Amino acid sequence: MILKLIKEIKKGDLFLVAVLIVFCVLWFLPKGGDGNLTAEIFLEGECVQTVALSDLKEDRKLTVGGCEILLQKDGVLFLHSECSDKLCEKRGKMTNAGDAMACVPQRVVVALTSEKAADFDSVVY
Amino acid sequence: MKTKKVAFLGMMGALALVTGFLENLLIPDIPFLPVGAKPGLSNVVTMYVASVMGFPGAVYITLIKALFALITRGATAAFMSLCGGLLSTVVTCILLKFGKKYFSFWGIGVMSAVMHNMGQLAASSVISGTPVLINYGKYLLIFALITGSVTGVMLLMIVPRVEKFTVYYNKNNSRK
Repeated sequence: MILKLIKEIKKGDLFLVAVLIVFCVLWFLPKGGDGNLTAEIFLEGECVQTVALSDLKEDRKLTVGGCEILLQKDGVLFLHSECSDKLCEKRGKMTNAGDAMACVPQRVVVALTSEKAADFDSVVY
Repeated sequence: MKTKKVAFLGMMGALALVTGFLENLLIPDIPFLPVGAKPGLSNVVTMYVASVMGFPGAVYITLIKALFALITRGATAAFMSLCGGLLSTVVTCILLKFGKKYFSFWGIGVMSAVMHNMGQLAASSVISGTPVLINYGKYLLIFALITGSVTGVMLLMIVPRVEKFTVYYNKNNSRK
């Protein structure tokens, strides 16, 4: 049975899968950054808020659109959403730079970025 | 001949919906599943129809699936289902038509799953209005590799077993 299946495999299959695996590995390679997470919150395509997570003293709740978002020092999660499928709540906490999660029906997107340290040591107002 | 086509599509449409529903029941038992991702078992039906009837039949199954998503899960789900389904159907049909020499159902299944996910990702990017979601694609891509392989191998096993059925359908078609 298995032998019969293996016989069906053609060169293109192996090539395709190999290319996709390489592509996946490249995509998963960690990007540069200083580990300071910044959360960018988008509503209907507009960036409505940018929060530097590493500067947070305590957990912070935000309400954007129909979604409640909890910002923590080491990550972001959707607490509650008024959508029907609740996929955003099930996603849980997102902690890696470069990741993004969304509540698509509510058109709310949260992206985590980790910018390289700015050129300035500090900014004084 | 037309009656046969209607009956065949009706049967396959029902089969696609049932497998789609059954996989929803399976989801909690599958480990490491990215949120929102599904094994895409109904893709087996779409690909089988694509291989027997070609593009029009497969598009019909895709539309039925989108309509079912609209009724049961709302407009967003329907739009996502439609975008992913159409893109994967187009690519599947192109591969079936021109790539059969180089690809077995394994490669076609993987490509179909990848395209389905990319289509859905594009749809969610359009709905949410920002392209940052594309980065979620890496989880979907790795998962599409696995589910595409599963559906592809399922097809490799199923197609010889339903050969009689396929031949029966084709025989009456060619007589006209």
